[in-house]
Amino acid sequence: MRLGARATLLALLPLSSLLPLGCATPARPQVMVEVDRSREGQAVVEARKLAPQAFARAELLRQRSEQAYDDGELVAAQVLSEQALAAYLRATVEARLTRADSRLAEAQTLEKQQAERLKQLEAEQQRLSAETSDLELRAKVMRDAEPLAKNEPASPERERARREAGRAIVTQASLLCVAARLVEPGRSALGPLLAKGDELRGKLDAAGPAPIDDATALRSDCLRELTLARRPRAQASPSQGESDSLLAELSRADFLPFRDDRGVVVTLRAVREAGKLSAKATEKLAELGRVAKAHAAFPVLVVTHGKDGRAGAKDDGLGAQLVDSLKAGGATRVEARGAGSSSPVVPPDRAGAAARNERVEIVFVSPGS
Amino acid sequence: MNRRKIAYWQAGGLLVLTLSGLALSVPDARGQASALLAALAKRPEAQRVASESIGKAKAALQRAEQLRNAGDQKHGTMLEETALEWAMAAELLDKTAQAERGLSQLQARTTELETKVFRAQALVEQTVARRARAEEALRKLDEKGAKP
Repeated sequence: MRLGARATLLALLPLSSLLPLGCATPARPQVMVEVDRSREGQAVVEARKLAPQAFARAELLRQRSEQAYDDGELVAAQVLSEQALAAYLRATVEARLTRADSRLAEAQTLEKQQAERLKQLEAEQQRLSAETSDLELRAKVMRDAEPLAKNEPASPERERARREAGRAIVTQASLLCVAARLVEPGRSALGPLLAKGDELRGKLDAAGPAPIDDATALRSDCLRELTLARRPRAQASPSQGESDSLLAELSRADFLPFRDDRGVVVTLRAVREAGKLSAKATEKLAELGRVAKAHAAFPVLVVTHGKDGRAGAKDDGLGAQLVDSLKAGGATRVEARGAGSSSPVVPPDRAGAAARNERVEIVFVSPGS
Repeated sequence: MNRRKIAYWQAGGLLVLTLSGLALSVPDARGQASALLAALAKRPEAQRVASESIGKAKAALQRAEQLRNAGDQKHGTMLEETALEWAMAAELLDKTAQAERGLSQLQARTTELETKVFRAQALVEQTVARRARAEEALRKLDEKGAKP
């Protein structure tokens, strides 16, 4: 029995370090003081509202502890006080959990609302962007179609310059018309316009005033046809993302793409070695073919620019080789056109001009606006 | 009469068996506290957020064992109940910490979404302005085209 009492005291030593043994009226144990202090804390006050049941349980334990203390059962009073301490902690933690759950529910609602709002805004942005691009293109076509002041015959030097400009404009016009044909193969207005281009090339090669105004008008007509060919797709699917994603993909692959009226353009240089496509060019073309396959809505127009020769002239089979390489990579709709030397990047008489002017353009023709 | 007595005895026996089964199926405070502490021991995160409560639960169990060994069953039981109280507090602390972590992650995601919404709103406003400019340009071109 004495052994049991000693063990009890040892077991309760952590609770009663300050308990003055042997006094007639025992001092209030430290753990009970701790309970009183905890009970007055802000966290417990809040727990009273947010976790009433847990708080009530802690209160009950505290009351039992007080009763035991009043009855002179110090050991029981200390154990019950420690239990009450744990119960108060539970009440405060339960209150924290209640608060967290409530805020979680609020945050979930907010997240849902924001996600829906973002979705709406993205859809609105796509629609607005498509409408705006369409309006801008229409304005551009109208501006191009505005009647220009008629060019009067000029000095021989001026006429020569007009002739060069006319060739470049007719080439641009033809390429726009071909792009329109790739977008809408059956478009009836394109045949006569392409024939008009051939006719103008003949006039530009012949003596006489350069038909610069006719060339400009042809370019406007071809751009209008391309816009009209694109319109059904642009209206049916106002998304602007497909052209952007193609541009981003080509940029990532270091092709340095850019946009023009036709679509997204990649320029390749020095594609041939000893009359054949170089290994490097073949590799690039295969990669471009894969991109074309992944973006099947974009037909591909291959334009070869030489150091001499007129647009539409023979290109020693280069166009056919390029088409074959792109198709081998996975491209399906591909057409090649030779532009001759009609659209030089730098004046042909400048040093190193040939290397810069001889090039190949791989045009991913935009099917929408 | 004998049949009735037998039936009473059988019913009584069945009741005793049922009650003892129930008593066996509800673990005592020590068992419950030990099970909770074992489950918490498997979660390193729980050890971090509730180390104090876990420590107190373990200490209470140890002290309860000392008391029981010394023959003080009453206070031993009380300390086991205290250990269970601490273990349940530790479990709740772990659960609350998890909920608060989830809340924090959700709030971060919501803030990111709010930024995206703000940017998207700005982009829409820019595009509305761009469209207005394009409409104005078209209107002017139409007027110009309509003139003889």
